Amino acid sequence: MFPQALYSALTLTANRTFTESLMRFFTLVGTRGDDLRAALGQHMMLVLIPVGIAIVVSIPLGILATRYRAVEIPALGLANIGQTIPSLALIALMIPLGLGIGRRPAYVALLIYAILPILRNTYTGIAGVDPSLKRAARGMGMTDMQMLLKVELPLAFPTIMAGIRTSTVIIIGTAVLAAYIGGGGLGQFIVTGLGLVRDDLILLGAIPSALLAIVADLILGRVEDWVTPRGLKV
Amino acid sequence: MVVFEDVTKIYDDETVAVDGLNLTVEHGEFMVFIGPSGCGKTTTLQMTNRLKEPTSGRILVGGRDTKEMKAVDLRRGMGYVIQEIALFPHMTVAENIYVVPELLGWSKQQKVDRARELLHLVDLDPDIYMDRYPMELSGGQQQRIGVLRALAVDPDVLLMDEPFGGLDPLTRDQLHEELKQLQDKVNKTIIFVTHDMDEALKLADRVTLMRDGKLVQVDTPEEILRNPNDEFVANFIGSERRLISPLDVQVREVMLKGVPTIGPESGMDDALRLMQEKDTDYLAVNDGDQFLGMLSAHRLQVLRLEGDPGGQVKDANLINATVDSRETMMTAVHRLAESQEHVLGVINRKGQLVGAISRGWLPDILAKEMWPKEAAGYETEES
Repeated sequence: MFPQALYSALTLTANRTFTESLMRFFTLVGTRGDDLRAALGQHMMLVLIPVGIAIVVSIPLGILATRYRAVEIPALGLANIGQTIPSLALIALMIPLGLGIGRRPAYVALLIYAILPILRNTYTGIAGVDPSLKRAARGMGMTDMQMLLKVELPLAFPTIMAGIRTSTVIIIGTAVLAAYIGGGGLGQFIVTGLGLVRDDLILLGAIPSALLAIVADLILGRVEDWVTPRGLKV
Repeated sequence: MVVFEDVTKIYDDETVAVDGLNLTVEHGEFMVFIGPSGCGKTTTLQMTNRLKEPTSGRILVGGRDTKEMKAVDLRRGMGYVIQEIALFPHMTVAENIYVVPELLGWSKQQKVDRARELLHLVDLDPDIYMDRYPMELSGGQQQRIGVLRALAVDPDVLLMDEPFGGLDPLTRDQLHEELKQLQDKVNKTIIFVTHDMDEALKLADRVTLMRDGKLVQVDTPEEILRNPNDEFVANFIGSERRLISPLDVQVREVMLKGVPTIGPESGMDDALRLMQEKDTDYLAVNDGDQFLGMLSAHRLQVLRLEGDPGGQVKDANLINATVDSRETMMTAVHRLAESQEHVLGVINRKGQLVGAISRGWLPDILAKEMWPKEAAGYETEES
């Protein structure tokens, strides 16, 4: 249903070459289904592992950064620098840094990339909690930990979740570049396709990774809504 | 009871916020701190629950040095209400009230019962409000919950930092009335900070006026209005408020104190003898703590003329017109006229007799209020 509709639409725009590429792409999905599934699996691991580790590292770090200036400045500073380095450069840097090629350096590079959005959102989410709420919490006799768990984290949670969402979507895109250092994933098709000048192969990498990003964004958007405390939505 | 002993607070930038404060806030007293901004009133309040630590001096709460206590324990035992209201937006009304009970490990049932009881106290239906979120409430309702949250574990001391400053005047007036009624029921030691003189005069048992970290005057509202210590106080009160009518004075300020009392079982003869002995026209008939009514010489006279001088005091058709000690003289005069009686019993919040207002004394009272210096010779209080 969908491909036909898309096909006719594209035919109408008279973009012959792209239409033909698309046709060949669909053929390729059929013939290289197994390869596609394997690459998709690898790609998801390239996202889940770095983002998973980034969550575990960034949330506590972000919390500490709101408490201690000694953590705040280096943590946010380094994460910012990590984000500034162009993604392809960061991935390529893994080789001279001695991490070699393959999945491991890809995970490391993507982790560095994944940290900042979560760290920054954890920090701003907690630092952004109304100071009067903190004063009330303290004045009512909450300890620092109680204030964190009962007041700050619940209120910062939607912001933290938005950071996780941003991070995930960025990493799904950036993970395509992992193929350049042998990290596998959907990027393999693109890299090979570019080398062979085969646009159907390029599309075999590009379309699923784009769809993956869109689906992840939709799902995490739902999760974000779901973790937003009811009292903030009324 | 909260006692400040030589309390001084000097901030890091060397600003002296509070300078050698000595003050006792009595148990059950509604103490209002007032003064221009930067006078140290909020700092004083925040030192009471150790949100700020005094640089020197001691603060005793219920006889215990707050420095010896763990800060969180001290705070859990003290209600805290602030101008920003600061209800936790992700918690329902009930959950907000549960905060301190939860910190103290109350059971679910205890928490629910207490929240329902508190909501009833301010006439909010628990079935409607328990599960509402703060954002679904008006500002006035939010601060009512803010006050209830502070009362959740029934603390002895309530700290209120400009709690009604963010509300519109109408809501504020309404909350003043409710707070007064609430205080009658719960009888807390309240430290209330404001910069609004009208609010202070309306609510306070005593007002503490501060300037530059020092006490300028600590007195009842009436006394501050009548006898401001200096120019600063007079200016702060504002001239329009100083022209206080004698009828605006609270009954307790001018009532006759020490009315002789007699038991309900006593005979009429005893009553007459006591009146002659104490040189008074009125006796209060008390059954223990319970005030039954006033017995007047006039009524004894009537009984005597009717030829029935015997019997017990309690059967003598006592005068049961009363006035609350915190009402104004305006109300008292009105009540006297309305009841056609010669005397009113003045009762406190518990319904016990604390004094009397009689028709005979009215001119003296008014004279003393209007011309305090010339009237100094009159003595309106019996010893």
